[in-house]
Amino acid sequence: MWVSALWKREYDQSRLFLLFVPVVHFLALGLQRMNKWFFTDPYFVAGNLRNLKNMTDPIPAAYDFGSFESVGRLWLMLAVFVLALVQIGTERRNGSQELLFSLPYSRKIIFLHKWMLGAALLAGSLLINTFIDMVVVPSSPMSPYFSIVYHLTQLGYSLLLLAAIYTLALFIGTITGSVAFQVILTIVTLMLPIGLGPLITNSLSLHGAIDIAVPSGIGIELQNTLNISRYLTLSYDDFSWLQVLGLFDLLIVAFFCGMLSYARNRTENNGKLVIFRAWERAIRILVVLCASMIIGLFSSSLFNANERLGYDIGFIAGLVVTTFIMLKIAKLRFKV
Amino acid sequence: MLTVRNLHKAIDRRPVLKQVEFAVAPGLVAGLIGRNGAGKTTLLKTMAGIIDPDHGTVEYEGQSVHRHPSLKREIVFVPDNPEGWFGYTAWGCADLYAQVYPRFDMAYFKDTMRRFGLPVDRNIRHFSKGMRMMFSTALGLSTKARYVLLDEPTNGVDPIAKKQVLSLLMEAAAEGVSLVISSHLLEELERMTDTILLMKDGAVETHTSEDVAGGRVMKLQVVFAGEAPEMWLEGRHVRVLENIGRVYTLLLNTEPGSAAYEELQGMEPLLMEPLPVKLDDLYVWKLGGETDVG
Repeated sequence: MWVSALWKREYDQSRLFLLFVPVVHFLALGLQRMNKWFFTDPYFVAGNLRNLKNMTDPIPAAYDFGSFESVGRLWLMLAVFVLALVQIGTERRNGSQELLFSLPYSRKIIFLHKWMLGAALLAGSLLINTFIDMVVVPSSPMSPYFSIVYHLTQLGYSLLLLAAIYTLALFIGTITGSVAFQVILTIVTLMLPIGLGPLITNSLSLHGAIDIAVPSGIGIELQNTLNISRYLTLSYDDFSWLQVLGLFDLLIVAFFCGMLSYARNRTENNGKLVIFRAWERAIRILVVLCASMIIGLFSSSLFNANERLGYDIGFIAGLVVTTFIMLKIAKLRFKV
Repeated sequence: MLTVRNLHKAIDRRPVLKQVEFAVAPGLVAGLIGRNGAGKTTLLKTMAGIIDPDHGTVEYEGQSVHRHPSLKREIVFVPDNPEGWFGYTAWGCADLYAQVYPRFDMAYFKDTMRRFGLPVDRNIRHFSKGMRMMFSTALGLSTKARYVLLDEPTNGVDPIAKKQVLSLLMEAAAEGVSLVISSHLLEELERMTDTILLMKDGAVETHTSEDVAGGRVMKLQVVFAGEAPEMWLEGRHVRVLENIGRVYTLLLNTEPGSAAYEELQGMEPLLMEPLPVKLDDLYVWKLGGETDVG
């Protein structure tokens, strides 16, 4: 269902922002391509072409294995992350949410329009800049290596990946009560697999349970798979259909969870860390466990004689202190 | 008909609305009164679908506003601060509302803005507090929705503008718009409303504006023969509004279970003259003894 008033409201809130994003994307992608093939010393261009001729698979190398697209994706990710903060987090404090909820539209429809704006921004910026790149490449010295498959693969992959991250940031915004915690929780979610794996592995190994721990090879594989931020800078050669499937699943799950949470939004809890009690409890437990493990590992390094005892003391102390702190923080209301 | 049925809402485990029940018939004006923090804004926001109730329903023509948000085309909420419109000009707001509310009257909006002397091309953020309230009221009434819920519409408005706002509301009521007005301006509410919704301890008592006492309280001017009965005057069924010399102005509970009036008659005072019970008397009677406003 299309509601022009809701679209207009979302567009008005982030108008300037929407105009800048495609420009910044161009600076990261099209301009860099032009820099490499048009605005560089012809001697270097000729050298690059010579190198490409000697390669068995020159197309990915001609496109620098997608490094310009990766930089573009990083900028776009930053843009849609900020957009998600503006659309969900800041509206809790600036009266915008109350205005929207008083309008004669269901909250699911409101959420859908928010998401559509972000998706349109991504699709628009990616389409425009892919098109520019597809004009730049055939007219450049690298034209023999022009590949429409490459451009369309990058377009599809970037769109899916960024839409999934954007939707995840929106979903996190629907369960957190403030911009600050939406920022923190989104970053933690994106980075969690990097830190959580080593934390658990080290904790288990200290207790001699390394045998029952996941073997390190599979562990690292799992850690890499779950680390969403890694996909932003993934080389063109490393793209796979499995990743596409995983990202698509993430997008769908985050979208429906976000829509459901937004529909059940408890406006009276705005300003709290988390606006749903069940989520608040789950996040609190995760934070307490992670913090306790970090403190335990730090403490184990201080007790050289008995690292395990050092870990246990640190873990228990961390558990008590962080539980107390989290309980206190959960009762506060934040203005940012 | 806008009907509130058995509404419950707790915030931070503290009950704010408890078994709230009332109805506002089409074309009627209801005044919502209560101490600061009594839950008036929570009630209005719940009626507008901004806050979800824990139990109970808000129904428009028999259908739940929360289940059928499209019904809110007929229910407009005017908050006490239009901060959601910051960044917009008055024109921008009207343009957006015109797309939302099918009967939005742009000519009326322009005319009202001109009448209030408000610039239509200035950002709402740069309006003074009073100007914001005047703008919000004009915008809300321009929707021509059947019910307009106003949260302290005269908050921060200067006396001249206050008269303008109130006369605008009266004109809207005369045209058949139902208004629910939360305010502390008891005199004005008494004049312009049909019904008074009094909030106390999370519940709402309904009083008709023509007879706010409703047989539940009596106001008397009394001169006692001899010494004033201090113990009786401090009783829970009696409230002393004023005492000048030997003349006492009293409010007496006349609800079943109270014998205050009979007790007074038994004292055979020198003077016992009934006075009309006004809304501020009811307010003091119902809410005046509390120091806990939360």
